[in-house]
Amino acid sequence: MGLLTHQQPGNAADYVTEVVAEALSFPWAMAFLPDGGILVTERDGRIRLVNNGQLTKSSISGVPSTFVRSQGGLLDLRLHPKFSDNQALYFSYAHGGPEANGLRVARARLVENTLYDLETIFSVEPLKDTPVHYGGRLAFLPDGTLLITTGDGFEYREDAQRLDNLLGKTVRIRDDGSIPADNPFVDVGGARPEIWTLGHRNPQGLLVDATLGLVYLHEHGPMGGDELNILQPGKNYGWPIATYGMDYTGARISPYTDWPGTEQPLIYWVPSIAPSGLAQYAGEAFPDWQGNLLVGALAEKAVRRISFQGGLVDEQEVLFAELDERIREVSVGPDGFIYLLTDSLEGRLLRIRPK
Amino acid sequence: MNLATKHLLHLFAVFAVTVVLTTTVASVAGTQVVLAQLDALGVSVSIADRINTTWQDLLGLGLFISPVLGFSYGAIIAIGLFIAFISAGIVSHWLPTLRKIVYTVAASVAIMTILVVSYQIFEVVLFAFARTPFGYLSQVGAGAIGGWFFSVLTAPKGDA
Repeated sequence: MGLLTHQQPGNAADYVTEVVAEALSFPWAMAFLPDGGILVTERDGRIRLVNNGQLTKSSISGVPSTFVRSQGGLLDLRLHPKFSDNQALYFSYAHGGPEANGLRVARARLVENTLYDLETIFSVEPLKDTPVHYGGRLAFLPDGTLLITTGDGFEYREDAQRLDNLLGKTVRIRDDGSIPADNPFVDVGGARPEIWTLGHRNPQGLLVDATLGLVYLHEHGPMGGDELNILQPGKNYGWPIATYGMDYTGARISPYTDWPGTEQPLIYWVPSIAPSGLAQYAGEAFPDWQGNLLVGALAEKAVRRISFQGGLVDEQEVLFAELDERIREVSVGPDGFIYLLTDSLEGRLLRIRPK
Repeated sequence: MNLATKHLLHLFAVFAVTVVLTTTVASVAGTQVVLAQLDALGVSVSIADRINTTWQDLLGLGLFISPVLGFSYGAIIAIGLFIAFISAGIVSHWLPTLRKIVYTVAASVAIMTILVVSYQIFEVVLFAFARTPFGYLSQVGAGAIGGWFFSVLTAPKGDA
Protein backbone atom coordinates (compact mmCIF):
# COMPACT_ATOMS: atom_id res chain seq x y z
CA MET A 1 0.00 0.00 0.00
CA GLY A 2 1.48 3.33 -0.99
CA LEU A 3 1.55 6.36 1.27
CA LEU A 4 1.83 10.02 0.43
CA THR A 5 1.58 12.76 3.03
CA HIS A 6 0.54 16.27 2.28
CA GLN A 7 -0.19 19.53 3.96
CA GLN A 8 -1.96 22.31 2.17
CA PRO A 9 -2.06 25.93 3.29
CA GLY A 10 -5.24 27.74 4.33
CA ASN A 11 -8.23 25.83 5.56
CA ALA A 12 -7.21 22.42 4.17
CA ALA A 13 -6.63 19.51 6.46
CA ASP A 14 -3.41 17.53 6.86
CA TYR A 15 -4.02 14.24 5.18
CA VAL A 16 -2.43 11.06 3.98
CA THR A 17 -3.16 9.42 0.66
CA GLU A 18 -3.13 5.61 0.57
CA VAL A 19 -3.34 3.36 -2.45
CA VAL A 20 -6.05 0.80 -1.70
CA ALA A 21 -5.99 -0.88 -5.11
CA GLU A 22 -4.26 -0.34 -8.40
CA ALA A 23 -4.09 -1.71 -11.93
CA LEU A 24 -7.79 -0.97 -12.38
CA SER A 25 -8.72 -0.40 -16.00
CA PHE A 26 -10.53 2.96 -16.22
CA PRO A 27 -12.47 2.49 -12.97
CA TRP A 28 -15.74 4.41 -13.02
CA ALA A 29 -17.67 3.92 -9.78
CA MET A 30 -17.46 2.33 -6.36
CA ALA A 31 -19.92 1.02 -3.79
CA PHE A 32 -19.26 0.10 -0.18
CA LEU A 33 -20.61 -3.27 0.95
CA PRO A 34 -21.94 -3.80 4.47
CA ASP A 35 -19.16 -6.29 5.18
CA GLY A 36 -16.48 -3.68 4.44
CA GLY A 37 -15.73 -4.73 0.88
CA ILE A 38 -15.69 -2.22 -1.95
CA LEU A 39 -17.08 -2.94 -5.39
CA VAL A 40 -15.47 -1.06 -8.28
CA THR A 41 -16.67 -0.95 -11.88
CA GLU A 42 -14.14 -0.97 -14.68
CA ARG A 43 -15.35 0.66 -17.85
CA ASP A 44 -14.37 -2.29 -19.98
CA GLY A 45 -17.12 -4.34 -18.37
CA ARG A 46 -15.89 -5.77 -15.09
CA ILE A 47 -16.96 -5.35 -11.50
CA ARG A 48 -14.03 -5.88 -9.14
CA LEU A 49 -14.04 -6.48 -5.41
CA VAL A 50 -11.63 -5.01 -2.91
CA ASN A 51 -11.71 -7.12 0.25
CA ASN A 52 -9.61 -6.44 3.33
CA GLY A 53 -7.52 -4.01 1.32
CA GLN A 54 -6.81 -6.54 -1.42
CA LEU A 55 -8.11 -6.45 -4.98
CA THR A 56 -9.44 -9.92 -5.72
CA LYS A 57 -8.01 -11.36 -8.94
CA SER A 58 -11.26 -12.55 -10.45
CA SER A 59 -14.10 -10.19 -11.17
CA ILE A 60 -17.77 -10.51 -10.27
CA SER A 61 -19.42 -12.90 -12.72
CA GLY A 62 -22.78 -12.43 -14.40
CA VAL A 63 -22.19 -8.89 -15.65
CA PRO A 64 -24.05 -8.38 -18.95
CA SER A 65 -22.28 -7.70 -22.21
CA THR A 66 -21.31 -4.05 -22.47
CA PHE A 67 -20.59 -1.76 -25.44
CA VAL A 68 -17.07 -0.62 -24.68
CA ARG A 69 -15.95 2.17 -26.95
CA SER A 70 -14.73 5.72 -26.33
CA GLN A 71 -16.79 6.89 -23.31
CA GLY A 72 -19.04 3.85 -23.34
CA GLY A 73 -18.78 0.83 -21.09
CA LEU A 74 -19.74 -0.26 -17.61
CA LEU A 75 -20.44 2.89 -15.65
CA ASP A 76 -22.10 3.47 -12.28
CA LEU A 77 -23.26 1.06 -9.61
CA ARG A 78 -25.36 1.49 -6.50
CA LEU A 79 -26.57 -0.76 -3.74
CA HIS A 80 -30.29 -0.84 -3.20
CA PRO A 81 -31.18 1.06 0.03
CA LYS A 82 -32.22 -2.31 1.49
CA PHE A 83 -29.23 -4.21 0.15
CA SER A 84 -28.71 -6.01 3.44
CA ASP A 85 -32.10 -7.64 2.92
CA ASN A 86 -32.26 -8.07 -0.86
CA GLN A 87 -28.61 -8.05 -2.08
CA ALA A 88 -29.81 -5.94 -5.01
CA LEU A 89 -27.13 -4.18 -6.99
CA TYR A 90 -27.99 -1.58 -9.65
CA PHE A 91 -25.60 -0.64 -12.44
CA SER A 92 -25.60 1.46 -15.59
CA TYR A 93 -23.80 0.62 -18.79
CA ALA A 94 -23.68 1.26 -22.50
CA HIS A 95 -25.33 -1.45 -24.55
CA GLY A 96 -25.69 -2.07 -28.27
CA GLY A 97 -23.22 -1.45 -31.06
CA PRO A 98 -21.56 1.38 -32.98
CA GLU A 99 -24.64 2.20 -35.07
CA ALA A 100 -27.23 1.78 -32.30
CA ASN A 101 -26.29 2.08 -28.65
CA GLY A 102 -27.56 3.67 -25.49
CA LEU A 103 -27.54 3.73 -21.73
CA ARG A 104 -29.14 0.85 -19.91
CA VAL A 105 -29.71 0.23 -16.20
CA ALA A 106 -29.99 -3.28 -14.80
CA ARG A 107 -30.32 -4.82 -11.39
CA ALA A 108 -29.21 -8.16 -10.06
CA ARG A 109 -28.72 -9.96 -6.78
CA LEU A 110 -25.13 -10.17 -5.65
CA VAL A 111 -24.45 -13.49 -3.94
CA GLU A 112 -20.85 -14.28 -3.11
CA ASN A 113 -19.08 -13.10 -6.29
CA THR A 114 -21.87 -13.72 -8.76
CA LEU A 115 -24.80 -11.72 -10.07
CA TYR A 116 -28.09 -13.59 -10.23
CA ASP A 117 -31.54 -12.70 -11.56
CA LEU A 118 -30.19 -10.06 -13.91
CA GLU A 119 -32.99 -7.78 -15.08
CA THR A 120 -32.97 -4.72 -17.32
CA ILE A 121 -35.09 -2.03 -15.71
CA PHE A 122 -34.40 0.95 -17.96
CA SER A 123 -33.08 1.69 -21.43
CA VAL A 124 -32.61 5.08 -23.01
CA GLU A 125 -34.55 5.65 -26.21
CA PRO A 126 -33.83 6.40 -28.93
CA LEU A 127 -30.61 4.53 -29.52
CA LYS A 128 -27.82 6.59 -31.03
CA ASP A 129 -24.79 6.10 -33.23
CA THR A 130 -22.24 7.95 -31.10
CA PRO A 131 -20.03 6.29 -28.46
CA VAL A 132 -20.10 9.27 -26.12
CA HIS A 133 -22.26 11.22 -23.66
CA TYR A 134 -24.13 8.51 -21.79
CA GLY A 135 -24.54 10.29 -18.45
CA GLY A 136 -25.06 7.17 -16.36
CA ARG A 137 -25.07 8.22 -12.71
CA LEU A 138 -27.55 6.61 -10.32
CA ALA A 139 -28.98 7.77 -7.01
CA PHE A 140 -31.85 6.58 -4.84
CA LEU A 141 -34.28 9.09 -3.43
CA PRO A 142 -35.54 8.69 0.16
CA ASP A 143 -38.84 7.33 -1.23
CA GLY A 144 -36.98 4.41 -2.80
CA THR A 145 -37.27 5.61 -6.38
CA LEU A 146 -34.18 5.71 -8.57
CA LEU A 147 -32.78 8.73 -10.40
CA ILE A 148 -30.69 8.15 -13.53
CA THR A 149 -28.78 10.75 -15.55
CA THR A 150 -28.70 10.37 -19.33
CA GLY A 151 -26.48 12.17 -21.81
CA ASP A 152 -27.35 13.88 -25.07
CA GLY A 153 -25.24 11.63 -27.26
CA PHE A 154 -23.22 14.71 -28.35
CA GLU A 155 -24.77 14.99 -31.80
CA TYR A 156 -28.35 15.09 -30.50
CA ARG A 157 -28.10 18.01 -28.12
CA GLU A 158 -31.43 19.54 -29.16
CA ASP A 159 -33.13 16.33 -28.02
CA ALA A 160 -32.23 17.31 -24.47
CA GLN A 161 -34.98 19.92 -24.78
CA ARG A 162 -37.63 17.63 -26.24
CA LEU A 163 -39.91 15.57 -24.01
CA ASP A 164 -40.44 12.78 -26.53
CA ASN A 165 -37.11 11.11 -25.91
CA LEU A 166 -34.78 10.19 -23.04
CA LEU A 167 -31.56 11.88 -24.16
CA GLY A 168 -30.13 14.62 -21.95
CA LYS A 169 -32.46 14.04 -19.02
CA THR A 170 -32.66 12.86 -15.47
CA VAL A 171 -35.12 10.04 -15.24
CA ARG A 172 -37.00 8.75 -12.18
CA ILE A 173 -38.27 5.19 -11.97
CA ARG A 174 -39.19 2.79 -9.21
CA ASP A 175 -36.66 0.19 -8.20
CA ASP A 176 -38.37 -2.35 -10.45
CA GLY A 177 -38.33 -0.06 -13.49
CA SER A 178 -41.96 1.00 -13.33
CA ILE A 179 -42.91 4.66 -13.62
CA PRO A 180 -43.97 6.60 -10.51
CA ALA A 181 -47.40 8.16 -10.96
CA ASP A 182 -46.18 11.48 -9.58
CA ASN A 183 -43.47 12.05 -12.18
CA PRO A 184 -43.79 15.59 -13.55
CA PHE A 185 -44.57 14.69 -17.18
CA VAL A 186 -46.66 11.59 -16.64
CA ASP A 187 -49.81 13.34 -17.83
CA VAL A 188 -48.22 15.35 -20.64
CA GLY A 189 -49.20 14.05 -24.06
CA GLY A 190 -46.25 12.87 -26.11
CA ALA A 191 -43.82 13.11 -23.21
CA ARG A 192 -41.84 10.20 -21.89
CA PRO A 193 -43.25 9.56 -18.42
CA GLU A 194 -39.83 8.64 -17.00
CA ILE A 195 -38.52 12.19 -17.37
CA TRP A 196 -37.81 14.06 -14.15
CA THR A 197 -35.72 16.97 -15.47
CA LEU A 198 -34.51 17.99 -18.92
CA GLY A 199 -31.90 20.13 -20.62
CA HIS A 200 -28.74 18.23 -19.65
CA ARG A 201 -25.61 17.54 -21.68
CA ASN A 202 -23.59 14.79 -20.03
CA PRO A 203 -24.22 14.61 -16.28
CA GLN A 204 -21.71 12.48 -14.39
CA GLY A 205 -22.45 13.64 -10.88
CA LEU A 206 -25.64 12.97 -8.92
CA LEU A 207 -26.20 13.22 -5.19
CA VAL A 208 -29.20 13.07 -2.91
CA ASP A 209 -28.95 15.06 0.33
CA ALA A 210 -31.73 13.35 2.25
CA THR A 211 -31.30 15.65 5.24
CA LEU A 212 -32.03 18.83 3.35
CA GLY A 213 -34.19 17.15 0.70
CA LEU A 214 -31.95 18.34 -2.11
CA VAL A 215 -30.76 16.65 -5.28
CA TYR A 216 -27.48 17.92 -6.72
CA LEU A 217 -26.32 17.24 -10.25
CA HIS A 218 -23.25 18.31 -12.12
CA GLU A 219 -22.60 17.94 -15.81
CA HIS A 220 -19.94 18.45 -18.42
CA GLY A 221 -20.22 21.58 -20.51
CA PRO A 222 -18.57 21.71 -23.93
CA MET A 223 -15.58 24.00 -23.85
CA GLY A 224 -16.32 25.71 -20.58
CA GLY A 225 -19.77 25.70 -19.08
CA ASP A 226 -19.60 22.76 -16.68
CA GLU A 227 -22.41 23.20 -14.19
CA LEU A 228 -23.54 22.24 -10.71
CA ASN A 229 -27.31 22.38 -10.31
CA ILE A 230 -29.93 21.70 -7.66
CA LEU A 231 -32.61 19.63 -9.33
CA GLN A 232 -36.32 20.06 -8.97
CA PRO A 233 -38.81 17.85 -10.75
CA GLY A 234 -40.05 19.19 -14.06
CA LYS A 235 -37.39 21.85 -14.39
CA ASN A 236 -35.38 22.60 -17.53
CA TYR A 237 -31.64 23.04 -17.04
CA GLY A 238 -31.15 24.77 -20.33
CA TRP A 239 -28.82 22.73 -22.52
CA PRO A 240 -28.30 23.68 -25.36
CA ILE A 241 -30.44 26.81 -25.31
CA ALA A 242 -28.59 28.41 -22.41
CA THR A 243 -24.98 27.56 -21.72
CA TYR A 244 -21.82 29.21 -20.47
CA GLY A 245 -19.72 27.07 -22.78
CA MET A 246 -18.74 27.29 -26.40
CA ASP A 247 -18.30 24.56 -28.96
CA TYR A 248 -14.98 22.78 -29.33
CA THR A 249 -14.64 24.26 -32.81
CA GLY A 250 -14.72 27.85 -31.54
CA ALA A 251 -18.33 28.41 -32.57
CA ARG A 252 -21.20 29.33 -30.27
CA ILE A 253 -23.60 26.70 -29.02
CA SER A 254 -26.16 29.41 -28.32
CA PRO A 255 -26.20 33.19 -28.04
CA TYR A 256 -27.64 32.81 -24.54
CA THR A 257 -26.37 32.01 -21.08
CA ASP A 258 -29.89 32.12 -19.71
CA TRP A 259 -33.34 31.81 -21.19
CA PRO A 260 -36.88 32.07 -19.80
CA GLY A 261 -38.06 28.75 -18.48
CA THR A 262 -34.57 27.40 -17.82
CA GLU A 263 -32.70 27.17 -14.56
CA GLN A 264 -29.43 28.88 -13.78
CA PRO A 265 -26.69 26.72 -12.29
CA LEU A 266 -25.54 27.01 -8.71
CA ILE A 267 -21.99 27.12 -10.05
CA TYR A 268 -20.57 27.05 -13.54
CA TRP A 269 -16.94 26.50 -14.43
CA VAL A 270 -15.09 28.26 -17.23
CA PRO A 271 -12.68 26.86 -18.24
CA SER A 272 -14.05 23.37 -17.81
CA ILE A 273 -12.92 21.21 -14.93
CA ALA A 274 -14.71 18.16 -16.43
CA PRO A 275 -16.62 17.12 -13.31
CA SER A 276 -17.15 13.45 -12.62
CA GLY A 277 -18.26 12.00 -9.32
CA LEU A 278 -20.07 13.85 -6.57
CA ALA A 279 -20.15 13.22 -2.84
CA GLN A 280 -21.16 15.01 0.31
CA TYR A 281 -18.86 14.80 3.27
CA ALA A 282 -20.36 13.21 6.36
CA GLY A 283 -17.96 11.81 8.90
CA GLU A 284 -15.61 12.52 11.76
CA ALA A 285 -12.31 12.33 9.96
CA PHE A 286 -12.58 15.81 8.44
CA PRO A 287 -15.02 17.63 10.72
CA ASP A 288 -14.46 21.03 9.07
CA TRP A 289 -15.83 19.60 5.83
CA GLN A 290 -19.14 18.40 7.24
CA GLY A 291 -21.87 18.84 4.63
CA ASN A 292 -19.48 20.12 1.98
CA LEU A 293 -19.78 18.82 -1.55
CA LEU A 294 -16.83 17.05 -3.14
CA VAL A 295 -16.66 17.24 -6.94
CA GLY A 296 -14.22 15.02 -8.80
CA ALA A 297 -12.60 16.66 -11.84
CA LEU A 298 -11.07 14.89 -14.81
CA ALA A 299 -9.53 17.81 -16.69
CA GLU A 300 -8.55 19.77 -13.58
CA LYS A 301 -7.07 16.61 -12.03
CA ALA A 302 -8.32 17.46 -8.58
CA VAL A 303 -11.34 17.44 -6.30
CA ARG A 304 -13.28 20.61 -5.65
CA ARG A 305 -14.59 21.05 -2.11
CA ILE A 306 -17.63 23.32 -2.11
CA SER A 307 -18.96 24.82 1.08
CA PHE A 308 -22.22 26.62 1.62
CA GLN A 309 -23.32 29.50 3.78
CA GLY A 310 -27.01 30.26 4.15
CA GLY A 311 -27.86 28.01 1.25
CA LEU A 312 -25.48 29.81 -1.08
CA VAL A 313 -22.07 28.69 -2.30
CA ASP A 314 -19.46 30.06 0.06
CA GLU A 315 -16.12 28.84 -1.17
CA GLN A 316 -14.46 26.35 -3.45
CA GLU A 317 -11.17 24.69 -2.57
CA VAL A 318 -9.07 22.67 -4.98
CA LEU A 319 -7.90 19.49 -3.25
CA PHE A 320 -5.57 16.64 -4.11
CA ALA A 321 -4.08 18.38 -7.15
CA GLU A 322 -0.68 17.08 -6.09
CA LEU A 323 -1.80 13.62 -7.19
CA ASP A 324 -1.88 14.87 -10.82
CA GLU A 325 -4.62 12.36 -11.58
CA ARG A 326 -7.86 12.59 -13.54
CA ILE A 327 -10.47 11.97 -10.84
CA ARG A 328 -13.42 9.92 -12.08
CA GLU A 329 -15.22 9.25 -8.81
CA VAL A 330 -15.18 10.59 -5.27
CA SER A 331 -16.98 8.91 -2.38
CA VAL A 332 -17.07 9.09 1.37
CA GLY A 333 -16.64 5.70 2.98
CA PRO A 334 -18.43 4.39 6.06
CA ASP A 335 -15.17 5.08 7.91
CA GLY A 336 -15.44 8.80 7.12
CA PHE A 337 -12.43 8.69 4.84
CA ILE A 338 -12.54 9.99 1.28
CA TYR A 339 -12.11 7.56 -1.58
CA LEU A 340 -11.08 8.46 -5.11
CA LEU A 341 -10.97 6.57 -8.38
CA THR A 342 -8.44 7.77 -10.92
CA ASP A 343 -9.31 7.68 -14.61
CA SER A 344 -6.51 5.73 -16.20
CA LEU A 345 -5.68 2.42 -17.86
CA GLU A 346 -3.71 1.85 -14.65
CA GLY A 347 -6.37 3.38 -12.43
CA ARG A 348 -6.19 3.42 -8.68
CA LEU A 349 -8.54 3.40 -5.74
CA LEU A 350 -7.15 5.91 -3.27
CA ARG A 351 -8.10 6.57 0.34
CA ILE A 352 -7.61 9.99 1.89
CA ARG A 353 -7.45 10.02 5.69
CA PRO A 354 -6.24 12.51 8.28
CA LYS A 355 -2.57 12.34 9.11
CA MET B 1 10.80 41.85 -59.20
CA ASN B 2 10.68 39.27 -61.95
CA LEU B 3 7.53 37.85 -63.52
CA ALA B 4 7.71 34.54 -61.70
CA THR B 5 7.84 36.26 -58.32
CA LYS B 6 4.97 38.55 -59.25
CA HIS B 7 2.94 35.54 -60.32
CA LEU B 8 3.64 33.73 -57.08
CA LEU B 9 2.72 36.76 -55.03
CA HIS B 10 -0.50 37.08 -57.00
CA LEU B 11 -1.30 33.43 -56.40
CA PHE B 12 -0.59 33.78 -52.71
CA ALA B 13 -2.76 36.88 -52.40
CA VAL B 14 -5.65 35.25 -54.24
CA PHE B 15 -5.24 32.11 -52.16
CA ALA B 16 -5.37 34.12 -48.94
CA VAL B 17 -8.51 35.94 -50.05
CA THR B 18 -10.01 32.60 -51.12
CA VAL B 19 -9.40 31.13 -47.66
CA VAL B 20 -11.00 34.13 -46.02
CA LEU B 21 -13.95 33.98 -48.41
CA THR B 22 -14.49 30.23 -47.97
CA THR B 23 -14.16 30.41 -44.20
CA THR B 24 -16.53 33.34 -44.05
CA VAL B 25 -19.19 31.66 -46.16
CA ALA B 26 -18.80 28.40 -44.21
CA SER B 27 -18.96 30.17 -40.87
CA VAL B 28 -21.91 32.41 -41.69
CA ALA B 29 -23.86 29.51 -43.16
CA GLY B 30 -22.96 27.31 -40.21
CA THR B 31 -24.17 29.85 -37.70
CA GLN B 32 -27.54 30.12 -39.40
CA VAL B 33 -27.89 26.33 -39.38
CA VAL B 34 -27.18 26.18 -35.62
CA LEU B 35 -29.54 29.06 -34.89
CA ALA B 36 -32.22 27.38 -36.98
CA GLN B 37 -31.91 24.34 -34.72
CA LEU B 38 -32.47 26.55 -31.69
CA ASP B 39 -35.38 28.20 -33.48
CA ALA B 40 -36.92 24.75 -33.92
CA LEU B 41 -36.91 24.52 -30.11
CA GLY B 42 -38.92 27.71 -29.86
CA VAL B 43 -35.96 30.03 -29.27
CA SER B 44 -36.52 33.08 -31.43
CA VAL B 45 -33.18 34.76 -31.93
CA SER B 46 -33.33 38.51 -32.41
CA ILE B 47 -31.59 40.11 -35.37
CA ALA B 48 -29.08 41.74 -33.04
CA ASP B 49 -28.27 38.43 -31.37
CA ARG B 50 -28.04 36.74 -34.77
CA ILE B 51 -25.58 39.33 -36.07
CA ASN B 52 -23.54 39.19 -32.88
CA THR B 53 -23.41 35.37 -32.89
CA THR B 54 -22.51 35.32 -36.57
CA TRP B 55 -19.64 37.71 -35.91
CA GLN B 56 -18.46 35.79 -32.81
CA ASP B 57 -18.53 32.54 -34.79
CA LEU B 58 -16.55 34.10 -37.62
CA LEU B 59 -13.84 35.07 -35.16
CA GLY B 60 -14.05 31.76 -33.37
CA LEU B 61 -14.08 29.46 -36.36
CA GLY B 62 -11.65 31.59 -38.31
CA LEU B 63 -9.05 32.34 -35.71
CA PHE B 64 -9.61 30.34 -32.52
CA ILE B 65 -7.14 27.48 -32.19
CA SER B 66 -9.37 24.68 -31.00
CA PRO B 67 -7.67 22.59 -28.30
CA VAL B 68 -9.45 19.57 -29.72
CA LEU B 69 -8.53 20.16 -33.36
CA GLY B 70 -5.14 21.76 -32.80
CA PHE B 71 -6.01 24.38 -35.43
CA SER B 72 -8.78 26.79 -36.19
CA TYR B 73 -11.41 25.76 -38.73
CA GLY B 74 -10.04 28.52 -40.94
CA ALA B 75 -6.54 27.11 -40.78
CA ILE B 76 -7.83 23.63 -41.57
CA ILE B 77 -9.73 25.05 -44.55
CA ALA B 78 -6.53 26.74 -45.70
CA ILE B 79 -4.63 23.45 -45.55
CA GLY B 80 -7.43 21.64 -47.36
CA LEU B 81 -7.69 24.23 -50.10
CA PHE B 82 -3.94 24.30 -50.59
CA ILE B 83 -3.88 20.57 -51.24
CA ALA B 84 -7.02 20.83 -53.37
CA PHE B 85 -5.64 23.60 -55.56
CA ILE B 86 -2.32 21.85 -56.08
CA SER B 87 -4.26 18.80 -57.24
CA ALA B 88 -6.64 20.90 -59.33
CA GLY B 89 -3.70 22.63 -61.00
CA ILE B 90 -2.29 19.28 -62.09
CA VAL B 91 -5.64 17.99 -63.36
CA SER B 92 -6.39 21.29 -65.12
CA HIS B 93 -3.19 20.98 -67.06
CA TRP B 94 -4.74 17.98 -68.80
CA LEU B 95 -8.28 19.34 -68.88
CA PRO B 96 -7.82 23.08 -69.50
CA THR B 97 -11.36 23.65 -70.75
CA LEU B 98 -12.77 22.27 -67.49
CA ARG B 99 -10.50 24.34 -65.27
CA LYS B 100 -13.21 26.18 -63.33
CA ILE B 101 -15.16 22.96 -62.70
CA VAL B 102 -12.01 21.14 -61.60
CA TYR B 103 -11.13 23.80 -59.04
CA THR B 104 -14.71 24.04 -57.80
CA VAL B 105 -14.98 20.29 -57.32
CA ALA B 106 -11.53 20.07 -55.75
CA ALA B 107 -12.37 22.69 -53.14
CA SER B 108 -15.71 21.00 -52.41
CA VAL B 109 -13.96 17.69 -51.94
CA ALA B 110 -11.49 19.38 -49.60
CA ILE B 111 -14.29 20.48 -47.28
CA MET B 112 -15.92 17.08 -47.47
CA THR B 113 -12.59 15.50 -46.58
CA ILE B 114 -12.22 17.75 -43.55
CA LEU B 115 -15.64 16.71 -42.30
CA VAL B 116 -15.11 13.01 -43.02
CA VAL B 117 -11.65 12.88 -41.47
CA SER B 118 -12.74 14.74 -38.33
CA TYR B 119 -15.59 12.23 -37.96
CA GLN B 120 -13.21 9.30 -38.34
CA ILE B 121 -10.87 10.73 -35.72
CA PHE B 122 -13.42 11.82 -33.12
CA GLU B 123 -16.24 9.35 -33.88
CA VAL B 124 -18.72 12.22 -33.70
CA VAL B 125 -19.68 15.07 -36.01
CA LEU B 126 -17.58 17.70 -34.31
CA PHE B 127 -18.87 20.59 -36.40
CA ALA B 128 -22.41 21.00 -35.14
CA PHE B 129 -23.60 22.73 -38.30
CA ALA B 130 -22.66 19.68 -40.36
CA ARG B 131 -24.99 17.31 -38.52
CA THR B 132 -27.84 17.79 -40.97
CA PRO B 133 -27.74 17.22 -44.76
CA PHE B 134 -28.44 20.92 -45.37
CA GLY B 135 -25.73 21.98 -42.94
CA TYR B 136 -23.26 19.56 -44.49
CA LEU B 137 -24.05 20.84 -47.98
CA SER B 138 -23.67 24.43 -46.80
CA GLN B 139 -20.06 23.69 -45.91
CA VAL B 140 -19.40 21.87 -49.16
CA GLY B 141 -21.05 24.79 -50.96
CA ALA B 142 -18.67 27.20 -49.23
CA GLY B 143 -15.82 25.15 -50.60
CA ALA B 144 -17.34 25.26 -54.08
CA ILE B 145 -17.61 29.04 -53.92
CA GLY B 146 -13.97 29.30 -52.85
CA GLY B 147 -12.82 26.95 -55.58
CA TRP B 148 -14.71 28.80 -58.28
CA PHE B 149 -13.45 32.16 -56.96
CA PHE B 150 -9.84 31.00 -57.02
CA SER B 151 -10.17 29.56 -60.51
CA VAL B 152 -11.57 32.83 -61.90
CA LEU B 153 -8.95 35.07 -60.32
CA THR B 154 -6.07 32.80 -61.31
CA ALA B 155 -7.29 32.02 -64.80
CA PRO B 156 -4.57 32.29 -67.44
CA LYS B 157 -4.88 35.48 -69.47
CA GLY B 158 -7.32 35.09 -72.35
CA ASP B 159 -9.60 32.66 -70.48
CA ALA B 160 -13.26 33.69 -70.16
